[in-house]
Amino acid sequence: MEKVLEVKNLEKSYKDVKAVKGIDFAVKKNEVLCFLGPNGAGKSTTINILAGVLEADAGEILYQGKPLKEMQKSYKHEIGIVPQELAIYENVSALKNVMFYASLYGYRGRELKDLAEKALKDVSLYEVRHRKPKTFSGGMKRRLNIACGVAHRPSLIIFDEPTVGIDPQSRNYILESIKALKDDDITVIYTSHYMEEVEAISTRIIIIDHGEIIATGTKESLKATLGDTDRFTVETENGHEIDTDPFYAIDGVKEVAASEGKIHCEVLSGIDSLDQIVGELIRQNIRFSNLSKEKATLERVFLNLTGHSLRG
Amino acid sequence: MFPILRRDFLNIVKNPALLFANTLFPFLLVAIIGGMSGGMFATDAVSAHDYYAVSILVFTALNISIISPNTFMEVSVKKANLRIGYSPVKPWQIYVSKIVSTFVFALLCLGLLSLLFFVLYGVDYGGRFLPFFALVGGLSLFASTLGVTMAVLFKDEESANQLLGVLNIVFAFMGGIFFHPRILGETFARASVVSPARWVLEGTFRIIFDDDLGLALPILAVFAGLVILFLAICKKSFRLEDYV
Repeated sequence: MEKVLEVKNLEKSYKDVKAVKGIDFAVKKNEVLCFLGPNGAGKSTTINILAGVLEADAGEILYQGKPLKEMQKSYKHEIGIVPQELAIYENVSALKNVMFYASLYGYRGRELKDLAEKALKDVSLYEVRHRKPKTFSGGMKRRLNIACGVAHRPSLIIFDEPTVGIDPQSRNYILESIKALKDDDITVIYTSHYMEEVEAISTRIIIIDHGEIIATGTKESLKATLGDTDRFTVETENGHEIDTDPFYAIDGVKEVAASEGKIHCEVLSGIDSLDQIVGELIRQNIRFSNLSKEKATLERVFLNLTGHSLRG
Repeated sequence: MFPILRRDFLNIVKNPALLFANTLFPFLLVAIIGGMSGGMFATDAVSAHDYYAVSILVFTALNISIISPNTFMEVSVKKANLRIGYSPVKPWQIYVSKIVSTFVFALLCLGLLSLLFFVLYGVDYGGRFLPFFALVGGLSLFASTLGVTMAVLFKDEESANQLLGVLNIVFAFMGGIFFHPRILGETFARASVVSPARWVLEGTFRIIFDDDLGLALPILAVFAGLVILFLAICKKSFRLEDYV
């Protein structure tokens, strides 16, 4: 697939803190590339460099094979940015907000109004286009924030955590809208620390932590690094010492760990060993209050790769 | 740059507080102070309204410096204004637009006030309105640029306005807006030469009462120099990456 954007050895420091440590990646045409990482991982710094508002200390960015430095203005025409924070005029109607930002790309008159109205329809705000955002809910403001970033019909859209602090309905709506962009031949870069979002919309994922890329791949390929296992978690009641050895004799059990009143069993997917695990718990006289089964998740991939939680 | 300029101008004129502070408030100030001190100016040459109309116009022009940080970095518009930086416009257009829109707003307010003072109180500016207005306008351009420069340096409206509020009061007292600076002593009167309000007040009174344009051009030249200096500071200090 054709590469839209290519990033080579990108570095950025703030005083003594290295926020981005020489990362390399490419963005392919018509994909939804998600950056997943905890707060402070370097996602927003990378995004702001790609948006052209932050200068990298080192490295090179190529847009459609040409160095970005040589084509800043035409590049900015091609991209749309949806920033993490709400960046809209609260006292100006939704339509005028979108028209204003689209007008910065040279659109005027009927064409400008049509573009703004289409963007508002795409985020379901057309009916309230004459209302001021100060009367909107948090979710509606987030959707307007998106409309302002995409109305000028960019071919590459960068979303920097666009769903922070909104209700589940609005979040789902936004995610569906982003998935629909793929059908319009638009390439998307999306950052988040919500793994559920990334799982829902990504065609490819870059996991970033401490300014470094620690894994790249589709969600399926990343989960496969866990060896395709399910995790059983048992919450115990009586705090007995647990003998983990007998569990390894159960078919499919790969790993057993006990800590803080919980027992974790990693079991190969597709093998039904639940009865045997419960049997062993009873045999060891371990009383338990809860037993849950968890499929391989990106959260667990991240934990496995970094040793700490995504939200940590 | 026109869409940004238009948006900035509309943001100012749709702000009732800014509109009040630059139209009704100075008008009421002249009406009240002029009315109260009528007996102190019992000459044919200068009335209380003459004196306070001119000095309050100068004071209003000086206080324009507080509007421009507001249009630029007031918390409700700051993020929206800086989002412009993601578009293909040049970063300098963002702050220059704030200066120009504030300046245009100032000229409209000062023009309206000047007209009202002429119609209601017969203040005729010595029959030399254009040079008079050029000086007051020059001060408002200086003030607009100073305000934006402070917003760029402090990166927020609140800190910029705290400093500018104090600075404007000091300039106003030194400039003799409310009373002659000599009342606060000879040293204060000598130091008052640094106040742009004093330059403009002296320049305008010479135009009005002595028909003397001698100070107008040097004062406008100094304002032009300061505006260029402030623009250079903005160009060096305004970096979008400080706000993302």
